[in-house]
Amino acid sequence: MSRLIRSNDNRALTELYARYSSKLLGFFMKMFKGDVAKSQDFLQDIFVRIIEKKHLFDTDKRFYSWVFTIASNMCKTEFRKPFLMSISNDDIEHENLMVSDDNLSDKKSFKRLLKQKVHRLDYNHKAVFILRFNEKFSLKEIADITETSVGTVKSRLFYATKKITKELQEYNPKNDSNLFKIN
Amino acid sequence: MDKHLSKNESRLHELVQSKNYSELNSADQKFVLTMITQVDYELERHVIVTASTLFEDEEKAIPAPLLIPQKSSGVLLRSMPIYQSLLAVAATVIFMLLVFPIHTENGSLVTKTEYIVKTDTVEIEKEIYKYDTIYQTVEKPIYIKQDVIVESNSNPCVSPIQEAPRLLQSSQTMRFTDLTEQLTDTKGTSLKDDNLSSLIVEF
Repeated sequence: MSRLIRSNDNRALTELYARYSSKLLGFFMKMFKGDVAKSQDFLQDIFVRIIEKKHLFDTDKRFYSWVFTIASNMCKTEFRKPFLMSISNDDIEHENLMVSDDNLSDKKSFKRLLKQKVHRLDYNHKAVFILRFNEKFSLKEIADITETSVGTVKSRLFYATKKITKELQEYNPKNDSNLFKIN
Repeated sequence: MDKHLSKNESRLHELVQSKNYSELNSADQKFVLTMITQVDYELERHVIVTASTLFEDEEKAIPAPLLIPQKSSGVLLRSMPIYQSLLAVAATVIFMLLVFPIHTENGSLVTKTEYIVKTDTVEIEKEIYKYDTIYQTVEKPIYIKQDVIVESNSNPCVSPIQEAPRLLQSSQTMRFTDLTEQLTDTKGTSLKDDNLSSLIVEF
């Protein structure tokens, strides 16, 4: 496959698209709050970049990780735009309504609330959280994708989980204890 | 920025990711309880387990057909690595420097000096020409004027400035010999012999 990638063979590109397009589209949608149009644009864009930067691919590494490195960098660039980081008032109001109307014990309600909390994370925590718990990458692979160390990945994962759990804790009236007494 | 995890934090996080609280052995349960409560552990575990199925809808999305971009046919439109671009730019700059070397400030000064020397030579030649011209243009109209004066002398009219010569007519001349001798006699009388003079001295 790597030889086909290096050559200008369209069959290689078609094969790559068949293998990884669904995974990549899913990753973009998770990162961009389910925005289908933007995710489809990013999916097309990433394959253009794969063609342009195929000379940068290290054949000793997994192609899957390399593709996700490009995807991660594209998301990072997009997250630097200020409008993505801001949370509209509509989101907050919707969140409060959901909490007041539904019970946390309800699985669907919990999922919706958890998804909102994940979307409110900053890029570093969100990318690590999704790559670990949704895309099922190992810590080493995540370190390669995010171009950091394994220790940094562990730390980001720990604090991302801690932050989400702490915010969910606030909506649980049965629990009045503090999370993670370690700090 | 997140700080790195301690050993206990790292161990706790590994347990949360791998096992429910009920699945922990007694030693692990004791360790967990030194860090957080059982409820907190179960909530964190629930978050992690739910997260794996959190984006089921997103994973069902169907990707749009790939639009393969047209290959660039020309050499100029073809993409190339950055190092190749930099090498090309460096080669172009070196070639341009070899063909059109940069003139330093000293070099330009030398050129100017040579130009001044040439100009001076030309000026010297001009001065020589001026010198010759002076010799040629010098004329003496004064002599011409004198000639005119000479011509005016040839006129018979007597100038009022110039007196006519008065000539003695020898035929009417009388000679007084004694008087002449007396007047021209240089031999005098000494003071002691002159009576008149002695009177003056006595006075």
